[in-house]
Amino acid sequence: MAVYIHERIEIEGGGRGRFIELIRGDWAAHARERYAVRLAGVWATVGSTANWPEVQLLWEMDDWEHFARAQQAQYPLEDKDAFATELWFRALEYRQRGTALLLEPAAGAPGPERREARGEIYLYEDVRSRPGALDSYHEALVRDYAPVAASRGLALFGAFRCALRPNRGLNLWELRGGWEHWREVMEGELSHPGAQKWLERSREWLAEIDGYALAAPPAQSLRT
Amino acid sequence: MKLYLHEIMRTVPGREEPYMASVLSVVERPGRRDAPDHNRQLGQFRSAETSGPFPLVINIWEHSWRSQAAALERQFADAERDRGMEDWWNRNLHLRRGGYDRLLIPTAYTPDAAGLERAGVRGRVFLHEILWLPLGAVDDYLAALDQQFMPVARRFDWQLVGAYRVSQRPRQALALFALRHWSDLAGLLAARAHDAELRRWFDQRDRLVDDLHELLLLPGRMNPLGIRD
Repeated sequence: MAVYIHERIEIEGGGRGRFIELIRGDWAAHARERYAVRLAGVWATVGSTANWPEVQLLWEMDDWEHFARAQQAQYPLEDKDAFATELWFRALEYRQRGTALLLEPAAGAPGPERREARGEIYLYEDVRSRPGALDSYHEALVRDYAPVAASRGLALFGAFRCALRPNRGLNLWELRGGWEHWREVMEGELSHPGAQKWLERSREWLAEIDGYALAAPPAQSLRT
Repeated sequence: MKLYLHEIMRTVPGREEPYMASVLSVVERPGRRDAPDHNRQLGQFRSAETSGPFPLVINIWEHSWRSQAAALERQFADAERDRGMEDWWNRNLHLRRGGYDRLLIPTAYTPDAAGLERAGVRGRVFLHEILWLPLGAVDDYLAALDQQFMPVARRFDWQLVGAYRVSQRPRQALALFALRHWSDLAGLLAARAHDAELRRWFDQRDRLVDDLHELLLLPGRMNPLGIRD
């Protein structure tokens, strides 16, 4: 089963587009060629909905063995990988800090062996379950809510649990359409019967949920 | 009784190793070994960008309450002002931006620095956990860590560096594990899905722990617990 590293990177000033370009270009190519680590997604956090300027990355490995091989081969970076060290310093122009999460697919939501974000807009959800309830939440999410979400044009791109942090997970939903579709989904958030019913049921398992939008900028974008 | 000063340092990106050497130089300058506030390095670590916030450096210094009090007196009392320390502090602002400290009280089963050396506890990667538990639950959690988790974890070659209470923060505990290989970490996490003892431990932990901030750490170049290839 695949293993993921999710990174949330705060951008200093106005270089979000250039940082994304760096990740999509040399960084992803190097990770793929040298470690067989795949870039499953790179997004800008959508201002108006959450923290900005910010970039989110999702790196994918085949399984825990692949994770261990890749980590062992690259750290300490400056002793083992000259090009990645250079990339790391190049990225300092855009970012000074970030936060990573080690993820595995949630119970009942193994998903495909390989994920690659191709949509334009995603909904991101950070979830904190009541003690010991994360697996039950995710099982119900896949079984009961995913079909409702699909009827709203939302596909579950991934539901994950944090490998090292109890009761924490995240969900990523891919919107089938563009910003007009986003408007419809958001406008109906508080009135859609299925969504409301799910929100009510979620109280059984969840202590906190925090959601916002992610967008994948166009490939040639240097937009901030 | 040993006491540990635990520092989370917000370092300037890319300056983690120079910062660690710089702060270590304060402890190792001539004449310091016999000073009443002398401390020794238990370990210096820096963040891997794998899990947790980055970049950070963690310093853990082995003290006693007496040496810790002497260190604070030297820093904050007008008498015996240490201009060398002041100069060092100001000289190193380009390496670090600030920090967050805790005083750690070791559990009875936690070895001191000399004990870790004797036992050969060393790693290429370290898992560092700060836990928040319900009031009154920390002692039981730390006892369970020793009696229930560590016997299983040792099957996967996990080594305990230490398990600690946090002074003045009765809901917090801190645990630090040394792993000789990244595969030691991965092996245990992969086995969690099917190993009954691990499942029992993690299920129990999920029900008990209010919050946990984890860090995967690399040893600093001069960390006596570190293995460098």
